[in-house]
Amino acid sequence: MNYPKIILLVLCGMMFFSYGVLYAEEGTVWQTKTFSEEELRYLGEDRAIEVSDPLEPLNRLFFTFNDRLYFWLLRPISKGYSFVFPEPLRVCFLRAYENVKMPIRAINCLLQLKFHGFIKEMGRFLINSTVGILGFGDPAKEVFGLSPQDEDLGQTFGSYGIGAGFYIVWPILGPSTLRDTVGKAGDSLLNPISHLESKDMLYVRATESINQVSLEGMKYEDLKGSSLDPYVSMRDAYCQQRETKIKE
Amino acid sequence: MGFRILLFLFTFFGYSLAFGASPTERVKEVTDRIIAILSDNSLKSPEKKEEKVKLIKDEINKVFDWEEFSKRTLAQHWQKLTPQQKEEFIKNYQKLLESVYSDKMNAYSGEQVRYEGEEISEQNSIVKVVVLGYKGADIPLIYRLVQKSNQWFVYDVVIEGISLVNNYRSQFNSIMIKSGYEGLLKAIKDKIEGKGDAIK
Repeated sequence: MNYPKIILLVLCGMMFFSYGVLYAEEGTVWQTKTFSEEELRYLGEDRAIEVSDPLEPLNRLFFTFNDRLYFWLLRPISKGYSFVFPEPLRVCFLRAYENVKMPIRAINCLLQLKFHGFIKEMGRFLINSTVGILGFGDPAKEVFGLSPQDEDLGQTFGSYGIGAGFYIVWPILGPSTLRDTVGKAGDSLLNPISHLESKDMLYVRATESINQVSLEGMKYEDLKGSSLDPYVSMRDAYCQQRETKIKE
Repeated sequence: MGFRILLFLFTFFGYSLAFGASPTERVKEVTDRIIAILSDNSLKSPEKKEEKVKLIKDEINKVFDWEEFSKRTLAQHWQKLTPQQKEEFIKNYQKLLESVYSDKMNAYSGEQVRYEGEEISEQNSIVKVVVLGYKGADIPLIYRLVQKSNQWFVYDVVIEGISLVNNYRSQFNSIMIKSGYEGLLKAIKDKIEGKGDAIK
């Protein structure tokens, strides 16, 4: 249990330390340069949301590592896995995992003062754990119209006005930012799965990832297929999606 | 009587010409026709693929503004291009998207579309759409439109919070900075010809 706490502390330290540095550097990122009147008129609200990427060479290395991991390991395993478990069953597994992770969403609703969201999450947990048989079903949404609240600590920080910091690609874990990494570490304290014995935890985590990959279809392949520079495309997609979620 | 009908038709026509279709109507009209083409059984065989792709391209071109799309993607680099370069860029960028997405047409399997409203501010508007039940999930889409001579044109699609314009902008920008306009054009052409990822 001490291990994640130490990581969290180190990351918090890093975040506050790098704050001043990041702000000083921001002017050098092209997207934050001042636009002319005409540029602003046609850029409008769709001005790029870009995060700084001082670790780009290292990130690209990990991006390639993750790419190989995906095509050589995750994808083949998930194909075999999909063959054994039909899609409806995999959707049930996904729901069960999400049901267990209720504290992350509920607590973050509270931290963002979204009391409605908090009540919805509690309601969902009660209904789905019982009537929904340990969360395998989702009667809360299907019958009671209670949809899950997609909230996490990274978004909570974002809603407090904390910037993304810089972009990080973690080996295995994939794209993140400084803010979202700290968020993830905090969320993992709220995740019941990370309180299991370390061997069980690894097993559950690995199965969860394979299940997730098996349900994502060709998402990653499509991103790669449509881009000139998959690394930049992924970075932008990640940051845009996070910004959208924070605004919601 | 005949004259009255004529008068009625005339004013009606004049009205719809002056005000044009609403953004949602524009998007819906083309979406409905594309869904009809995709669901057309007589176009399902592999040898009809080219014809089908052509029909869909024509529909998209009726509502999609490739120039606006290009301009917003290149952002501050756009003004530095000569008129010939601009034209060349628009053409190749369009080809790139067509080559990337024409293979995706078989992914359609009868999904329905729900229109969730529009927001208009002066010359710009957005139309919110949800594609229902794609692989068991609902996918939110936002179309961004711009008004030109009383007609609305789409210039960007935001899929699950990711804008196409923004995503290509960040890629093109990093290539422009490294290897300039010529480098970007080459990367686009290589991608169209299927030479794999232009930049590793």
